[in-house]
Amino acid sequence: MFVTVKLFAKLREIAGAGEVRLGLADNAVVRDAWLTLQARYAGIAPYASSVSCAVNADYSRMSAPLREGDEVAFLPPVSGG
Amino acid sequence: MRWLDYEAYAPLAVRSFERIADEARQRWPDVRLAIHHRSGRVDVGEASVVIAAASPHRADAFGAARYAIERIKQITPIWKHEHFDGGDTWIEGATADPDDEIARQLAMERACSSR
Repeated sequence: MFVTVKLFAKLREIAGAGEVRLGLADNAVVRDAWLTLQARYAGIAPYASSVSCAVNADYSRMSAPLREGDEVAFLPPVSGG
Repeated sequence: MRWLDYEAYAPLAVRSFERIADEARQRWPDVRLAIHHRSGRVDVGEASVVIAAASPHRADAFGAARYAIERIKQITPIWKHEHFDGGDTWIEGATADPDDEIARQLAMERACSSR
């Protein structure tokens, strides 16, 4: 299946793209999307322990299953306010 | 610092505001909140956040507004990018996890103290 990954702030800068299309196994979970990204952009690896995620613009978990066409977002530590 | 840029994941940021308002309503049922955050370039000295609280009792309004700003800093997907002469840096604060009860409790304690 294919999902769209959105990256923000420093993650976006490291990857050089705010949006990436990923092909994943049909039983993939959010963590698989992260690991696939990490294989492509090694510079994001330091964020593995601090990143959080969203699926289809709702907070999610690394263990959440993905479906064809989902929008996955990886969020580095936030700093609004 | 010369200026700030805020980057937002807008659809989730709006959802986070709704979530924060729902959380505040559980503690202060009579308070109504309006929350706004700038994105894009913000010059030094300009406000980046507006939180309006309406309530029959002022202490509740102040408490709910304080709770809202603490929660925004914890969970809202917005990132601050500081620009200096000759450089820039992304500010990274909290790992955004709305289900982190310890963080939520900390926000509530700050909201309910007078400091």
